[in-house]
Amino acid sequence: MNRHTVVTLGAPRRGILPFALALVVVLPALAPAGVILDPARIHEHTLANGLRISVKEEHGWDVVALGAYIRAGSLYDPPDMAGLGHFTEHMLFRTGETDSEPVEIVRLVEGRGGQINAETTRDFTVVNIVTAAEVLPEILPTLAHTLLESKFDPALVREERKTIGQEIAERQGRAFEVLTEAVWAAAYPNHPYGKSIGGNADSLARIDADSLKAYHARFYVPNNISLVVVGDVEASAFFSQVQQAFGRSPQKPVDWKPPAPEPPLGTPRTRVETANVTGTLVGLAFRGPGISRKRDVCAMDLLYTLLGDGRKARLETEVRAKDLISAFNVDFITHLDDGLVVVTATVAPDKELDARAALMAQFARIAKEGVTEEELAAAKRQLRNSYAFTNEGYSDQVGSMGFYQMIDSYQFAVDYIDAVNAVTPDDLKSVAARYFDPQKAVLVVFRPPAPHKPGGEV
Amino acid sequence: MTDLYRRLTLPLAALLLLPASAVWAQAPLFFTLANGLKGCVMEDHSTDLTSVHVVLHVTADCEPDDKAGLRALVQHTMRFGWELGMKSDPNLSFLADMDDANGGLSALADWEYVDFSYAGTAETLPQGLAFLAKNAFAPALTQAAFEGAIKVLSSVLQARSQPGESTHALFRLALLGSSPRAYPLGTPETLAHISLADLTAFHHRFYVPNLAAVCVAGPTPAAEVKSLIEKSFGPLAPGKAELPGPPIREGSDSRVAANTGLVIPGDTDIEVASLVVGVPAPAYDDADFPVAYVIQAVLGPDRKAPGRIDRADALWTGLGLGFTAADAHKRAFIESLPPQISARNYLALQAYVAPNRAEPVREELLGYFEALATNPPSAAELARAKEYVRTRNALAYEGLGNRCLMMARAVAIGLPGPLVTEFDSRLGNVTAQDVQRVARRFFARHAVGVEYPEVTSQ
Repeated sequence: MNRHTVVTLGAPRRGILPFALALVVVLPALAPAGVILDPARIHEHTLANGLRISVKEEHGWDVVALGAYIRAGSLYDPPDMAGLGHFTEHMLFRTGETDSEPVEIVRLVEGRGGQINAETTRDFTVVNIVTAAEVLPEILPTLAHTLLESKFDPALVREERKTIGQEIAERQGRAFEVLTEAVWAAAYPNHPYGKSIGGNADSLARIDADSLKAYHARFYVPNNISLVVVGDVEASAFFSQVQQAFGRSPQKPVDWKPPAPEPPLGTPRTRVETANVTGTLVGLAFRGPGISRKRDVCAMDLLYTLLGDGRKARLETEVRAKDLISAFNVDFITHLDDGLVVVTATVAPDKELDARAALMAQFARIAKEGVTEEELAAAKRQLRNSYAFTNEGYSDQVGSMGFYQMIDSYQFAVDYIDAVNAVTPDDLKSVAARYFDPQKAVLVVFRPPAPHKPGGEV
Repeated sequence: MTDLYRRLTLPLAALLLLPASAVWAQAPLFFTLANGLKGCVMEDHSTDLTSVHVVLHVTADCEPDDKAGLRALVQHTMRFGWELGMKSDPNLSFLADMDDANGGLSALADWEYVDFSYAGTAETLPQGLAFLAKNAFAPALTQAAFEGAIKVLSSVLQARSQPGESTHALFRLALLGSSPRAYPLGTPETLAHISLADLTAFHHRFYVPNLAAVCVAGPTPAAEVKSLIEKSFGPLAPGKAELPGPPIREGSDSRVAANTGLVIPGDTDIEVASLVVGVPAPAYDDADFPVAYVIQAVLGPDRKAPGRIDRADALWTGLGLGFTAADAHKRAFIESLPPQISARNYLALQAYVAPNRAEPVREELLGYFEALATNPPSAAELARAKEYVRTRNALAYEGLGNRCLMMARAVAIGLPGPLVTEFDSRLGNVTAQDVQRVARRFFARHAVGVEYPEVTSQ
């Protein structure tokens, strides 16, 4: 019922994040596929203070989508303050708020019919705006103020802590989210990716106005921000407007060292617990490549597609259709550091062990046997189609470009199709063998409290 | 096919959308085939997807009162046929591929029209058009599919018992009477009256090309698309359908119901009544149609774009739920239901209130509508409201599929004027006197739907 979703926990949204993107497989009987993100329409510019701007001009409609991306996701949270980046995102929208007036940026955007929201992910925070094109120039100075000059009033911080605490409590009631967090925690016991994006009650208690100020001063600086715009704007004019709004803020070094990579898992990690669920929930995961290994990323995107995306996916035809699981989801979101391929599934309590074995068998099979040329072609087609629909709207395209800008460059969103197209069956087999090692699997199971037999041992 | 189910059961979503203020980069191509089918092609190179919408001007008034839900049942019965085809016909594998990628087929019905659509990559446009031409106008409506559709629709109706949604249904009954316009999906009783023979006869009578418009958006050259439309839709024979006029009701009405499960999501400990109060508004073909949108924006409630209701703190604290005005606002305890693109349009406000406050709050909310007759908006109120409406409309066009549906609907049901541009200019011309005139003309009667958390009487 709450429409006021200005600040939202940044659980990645599959529809926006290019979890896996794709490539052109041209069916012989069909005309060639076209361009999804046309590079000829994209213009880029960097201000003297380091703020980066990417503009894709689309003049068909009087609409513009803007994403202000900040490298300030949970990856950047101090070890004892999980949720600090997310808390900071919340506070962006409290600065200047009074009982009678909403925050100026919100009033400016939504008061004139536009939309604004924000989310925090593991690698970045983003503020999204969609509005009529003629309104955008008036918004930019206030956006700059909101991002770069936020205030952290202790009273508002205390108030917002309650709001976030309630979010955390509500999340505990959503079993699949809890399961997924548990899987990440088991896979990354040391790395920040293992911590909840929103933090927990303990870490939240440690965050105060001073820590927020320090975090903001460190990461919310022009050279750590990228603006991505798609819509009815003229790039050179927009660059000038951004210069006026953001140009006076000085560049500041971001004093941050990447965390040590999580050591490889030498043995399987299994966690089984009783939870307040009606059916058994199974989370199975393997570490996946980070963005520095782009060829592996593309291969992994194809592997996850083959296994879990669509009605012909192996987990659908070989596991769900045989009633070993009742529903499942496979996800692999590319990250700056190594990510995670995660399968979550709902299982009848008495089929749990059979289901676990069946899921593991599919990963083992693809690692051992690889795939045929035909299967690979179908997966490329599927991935390519998904990528096209992921980029349907202007805001969708901002999401793709901004996502990769934060972990690499927006250019990868443009090149992605070609990169996936270059993947070979040998690549796939090699990547599957390296990453889908049963000795490196992470398994988390939530069983319902009622007595049950988890099925035959395997 | 899970997404297809979801799309089929969201017939009301598109009602919020209006023609926007497009500045055509490339003017759409309009034409009419010899069989009366209207065509519209929008060449759009923002991505390589194509969107096809076939909109039929088949209104709820076409359904006999005791067979409400016929149009929804047609959609669901056809959908069963589609799903079967995708499983068994290799020529339809492109549909399955697109469905897996979050595109594919969808269908919806609302008060004024029914819509069949296809979303796919551009190279699949010929197949998509050919499929829709055959299946929208000459589908195989089998007994098995019909029975399956009855089950699905019945379960959808059962699921629509959430507070708010059910109160809105009560309000529609009070305003529109027991006609199919009040039951867009029918009721268990009306569905029980419908046979496959009824369904087939209804489809044969109304689903004809001379009541239809097809719109295509995508990168394929417009002339080429026009040829494809002519090839696929040209051979269809015209029908003889004559559309009935909408039923007219006079006088005010209230509907009251008890709902022991009435709670606010996230606030399960608060006992509330749910209230919808509203008034008739200019229909989509009325010269004052844009005034309805201006009135909605003048009143609010939207704290980010504060209207008269937003500024009335006493109203918010007077809801009796123990919240300050600001907190009640954040929780959206009062919401505005937007005008409908309908021949029986209305404006309505929904509120959650303490049970003992339902009656005074009803009076107060109604008073905001009535006051416009004597206290029209100031110049500042009017300017803000118009800008808000204009931007909201522009945003409705974000996304290729949205744009295509807007245009198809505008062409099929004959929205005012030369489509997009005229709504905007008419919006710009709305005056305070127009608002006063509409209030005097329409707001003399009202309707109310109320749900109390326990059995009560009025």
